[in-house]
Amino acid sequence: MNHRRKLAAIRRYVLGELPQRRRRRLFERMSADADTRAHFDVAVHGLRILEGSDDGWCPFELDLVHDRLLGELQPRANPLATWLRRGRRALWSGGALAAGLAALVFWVRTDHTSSQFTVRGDDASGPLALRALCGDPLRPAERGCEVADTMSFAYRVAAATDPDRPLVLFGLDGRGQVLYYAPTPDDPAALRPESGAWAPAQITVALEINHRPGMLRVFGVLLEQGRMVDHDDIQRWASVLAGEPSATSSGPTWTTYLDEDSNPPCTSQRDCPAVELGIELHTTSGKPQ
Amino acid sequence: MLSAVYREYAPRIAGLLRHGFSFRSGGQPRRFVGYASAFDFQDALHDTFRRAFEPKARISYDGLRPYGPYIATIARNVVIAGFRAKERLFPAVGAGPESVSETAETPAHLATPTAAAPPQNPEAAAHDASVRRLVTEFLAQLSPEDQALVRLRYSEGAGQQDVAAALGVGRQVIRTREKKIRRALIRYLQARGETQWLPQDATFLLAAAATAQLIKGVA
Repeated sequence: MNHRRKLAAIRRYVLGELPQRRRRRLFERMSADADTRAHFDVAVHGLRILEGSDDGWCPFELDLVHDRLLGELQPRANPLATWLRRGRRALWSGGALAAGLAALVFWVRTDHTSSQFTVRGDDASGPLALRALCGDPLRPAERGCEVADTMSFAYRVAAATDPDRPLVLFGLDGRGQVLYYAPTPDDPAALRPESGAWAPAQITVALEINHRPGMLRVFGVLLEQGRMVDHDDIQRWASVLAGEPSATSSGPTWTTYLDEDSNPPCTSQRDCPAVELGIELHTTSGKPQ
Repeated sequence: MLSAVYREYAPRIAGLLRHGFSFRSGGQPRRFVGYASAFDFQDALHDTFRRAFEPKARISYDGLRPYGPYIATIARNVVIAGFRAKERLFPAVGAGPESVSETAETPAHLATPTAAAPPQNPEAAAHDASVRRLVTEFLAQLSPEDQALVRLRYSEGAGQQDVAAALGVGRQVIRTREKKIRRALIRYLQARGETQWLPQDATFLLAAAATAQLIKGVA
């Protein structure tokens, strides 16, 4: 955690915005590091002065401890029940996986050009490229996907890219709902891509569970080595992106819209490979609704 | 349920941890002067309720004693345990019975918090003055609308609904602006590196001095 990120984490914690998992990391950091503690103390002290506390403490401090305490006491969700509810990720069976891989390899070797489907990110010569597929058998998502379909992804990370950078994928629908692909609330692991060749992201999304007809924006980014994000971070990014226009092939990448308070995926935009796709989801009749 | 218990008793325990309390240890009357550090304060508050909510503590509570003093005893033990841990890092030097050899013997003392505010050493007072000055500077550069919000909300203690009515906006607007002001204040303090005003060695000495003063004899 660098200094800037440390200060942002303190700010977000004091304002009650830091996710539970990251709170634990911050407490560990504060317990071990006097400088971090001092920054926290000053932030709280400043708010106590602002709020004119007569008691020597402010109600927001009791709220922070309350949330920390109750957050620790909450039981973990049942993963199966949560998956059924959210429908974010399902591993392929062996046969389906083999068939999918074959279709994927065939598909990614084929030239695809469609500015309508991919708004930014199918440039295979860039550091990160992403494509979506849907249906069974798999087909390119250029013409959209039916909500009854499953959807998967293929990606390519340039050979020169650090091989240990995790890949994060998530979606955002027209109503502002975020769709988690990797990581998810139940599976905090981002994807570990291999460099230099197209590869399938071994996740399949059952669209009908929580995707609605209409335009789906899909975002991908390569995190810095050793960096982790969780679904709360993704939720925060999505809430920012919901108010920003879809990317264009020559416009800025979506990561440029994120300020430091949203715990952006990279410390530097110069080394932040990111992609954005636009996929039309429609009903079986072909209408987006 | 646990949330309701916390809401009911947390202010009282916060008062004990922030302002200190008297107790007896090793046959000596002693006084805990309260946590100056917000981190230590919140951490002790958290530890107190975490222990109180553990199954063992919930089973051992007989339901006959008033719960307030019961949880205050837990808070006291958190404080003393914390002091013992720090005492190993900062052994007492010179006069003053800083060591705590026994746990408190008179929990009833805990019912009465001591001074209204923890006494400050000169360094802490200077630090407090420095933060106050920065907050004043920050408030001075706010827009008139935000200054009015701060005055109504924090100086006059008005609720968000009343402030919204007074300023002719919705309550959500007040909530958003309030949060924005709080965020901006923290940024302002961080940008000015207030924690860096002491050289590193002095910070260390201050921590040692504060720890030594944490619990002191009153005899």
